[in-house]
Amino acid sequence: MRRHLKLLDFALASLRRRPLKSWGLVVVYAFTVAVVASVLLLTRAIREEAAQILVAAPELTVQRVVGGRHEPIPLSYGDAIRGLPGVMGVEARFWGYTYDAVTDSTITVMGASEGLQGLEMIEGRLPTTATECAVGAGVAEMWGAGTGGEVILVDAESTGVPYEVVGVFRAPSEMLTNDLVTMTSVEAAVFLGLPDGTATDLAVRIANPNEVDTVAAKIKRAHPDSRPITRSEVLRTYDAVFHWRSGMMLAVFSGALVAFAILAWDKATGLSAEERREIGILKAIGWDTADVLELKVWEGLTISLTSLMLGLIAAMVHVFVLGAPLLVPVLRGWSVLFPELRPAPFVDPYMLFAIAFLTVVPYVAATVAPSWKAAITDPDEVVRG
Amino acid sequence: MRPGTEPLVVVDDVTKTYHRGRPDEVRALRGVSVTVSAGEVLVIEGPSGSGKTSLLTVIGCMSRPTSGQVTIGDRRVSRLTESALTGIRRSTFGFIFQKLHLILDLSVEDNVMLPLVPTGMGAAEMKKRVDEALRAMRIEHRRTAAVGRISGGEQQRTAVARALVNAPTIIIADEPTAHLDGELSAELLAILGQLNDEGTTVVMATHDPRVTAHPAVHRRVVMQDGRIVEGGAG
Repeated sequence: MRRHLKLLDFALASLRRRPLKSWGLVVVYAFTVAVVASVLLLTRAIREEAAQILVAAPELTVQRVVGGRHEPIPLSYGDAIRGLPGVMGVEARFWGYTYDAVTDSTITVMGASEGLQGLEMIEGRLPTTATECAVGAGVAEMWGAGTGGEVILVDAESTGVPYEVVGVFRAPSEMLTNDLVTMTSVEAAVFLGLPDGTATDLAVRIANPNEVDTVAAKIKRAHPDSRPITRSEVLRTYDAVFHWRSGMMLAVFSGALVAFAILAWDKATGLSAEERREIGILKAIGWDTADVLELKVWEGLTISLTSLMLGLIAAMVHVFVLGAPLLVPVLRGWSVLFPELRPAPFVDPYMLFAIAFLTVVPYVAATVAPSWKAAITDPDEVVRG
Repeated sequence: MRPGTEPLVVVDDVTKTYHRGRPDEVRALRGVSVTVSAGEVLVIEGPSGSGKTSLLTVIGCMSRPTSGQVTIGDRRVSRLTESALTGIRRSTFGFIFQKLHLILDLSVEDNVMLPLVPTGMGAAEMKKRVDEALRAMRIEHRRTAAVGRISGGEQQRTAVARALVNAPTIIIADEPTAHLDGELSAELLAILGQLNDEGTTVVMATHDPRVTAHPAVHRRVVMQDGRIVEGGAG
């Protein structure tokens, strides 16, 4: 044990003797770990957010598809669906998007006469008349429009329509509600230009979650132009989208990863003449090959574990404290008005292990391999040199 | 100290060939036999390329002979594993290299401590040994200085202190005065003479006549073209 501690002590002293090289490696290495860990942590956080949103979503959403396009769905479909066994209720939903050129933002407009599940009013109330609206906290902040203020939204006829803000709300997940404006359902239908007797889609509540697929199949049979979407399908889509985006990000950063790999390889493997000479001296004065290799393993572990820790801490601060300002625009690129993301600190041990395995092991191996080649050389070469 | 009659190192018909079978093959030793007695100061003389350093590395267990036998004490070492040779090197030999081979950005005491690091020796014992070696070489006052920042003479004494720290039976010195002026050479030879008085066997390779003529030297052998041409008998 004493021998190992002495070798560790000597390894630390060796790293201190080359501060520029050691700290240079740690900084580049930690940055790479921080980038990869940030992408993975943020992706997971967004997927968790998406899953949280969908908890409040209906088990089944029914849209109408004509010619491959999403078309308004007749309210009469809802009456028919309501009569199917297992269906507890059907709610027509009126929603769509409007673009605000002043702030370059895409706003979601939604009818919410009976309120929306999971919404929490920060101030005021939900709208009750055609000239009123309530806005999400992000919208209120961007427009500087609190309760009592006025906003102008561009309707389906490209006409600016003034609305009085009667409330500001937020939700446990700010992902959607932060760019959301609600109005009465009737007004939303008019604003979005929905034909009379139609809605954007239908939300279907089902008594037994196990029967969702059965009900969906029955709806499809009764209305061949309908597209029933189950909650699990939406969740899978979100998962796939964010997996894809994180994969894209990692691909984008792969250049940095490759650059790091080259740098690490060069720094770790490129034993300088001085280092080779040192190994020769150690061998000549009685160090075994195993002693030299253990020294190099300690050096590699010190560099890589320090970098791993610093990189992970940086990633956690970036994602969980600062809200991932460097990555969010890419990962959530579907919205112009970005909801503020404060993901709950959550660390996946498997992810940590994967990052550690993919960074520490190759680095230590890259450090030890060339030293091994130098260490198995007969020590007489140093004497002769 | 007068050398004993008991052989401490026996080199018997040893050859050493580098880069065997390649165009740049070098036959450094060609059937060398020599015996070193306990307590002896033996000088190996010869011009550059005569095989002095090769013979030292074979005696010092830094390389294995291509053929022939080397015996240290009662152990035949010619075919031992690398690990076993390291063990013998660590316990039996102290090395003073021609170019000193100190680690310049380590302190004097850290350089001296180096041979003890992988031994698992306790910190107190290690410190005691280092202190003794530094004191013996009168370099104690420079113990925390980086070796790259001390004088040539102090570096020389540091190298000798490192060779002494594991209390070796045999000191192997390769051209120890090659880069020293007259005063430093005399000082080093005096130190080696003193170590020999205390019982340490010394084997030196040199072509410096000041070394050969030093009163501490008991015997000299002369090498040429990989062979001992004078004084080979133990």
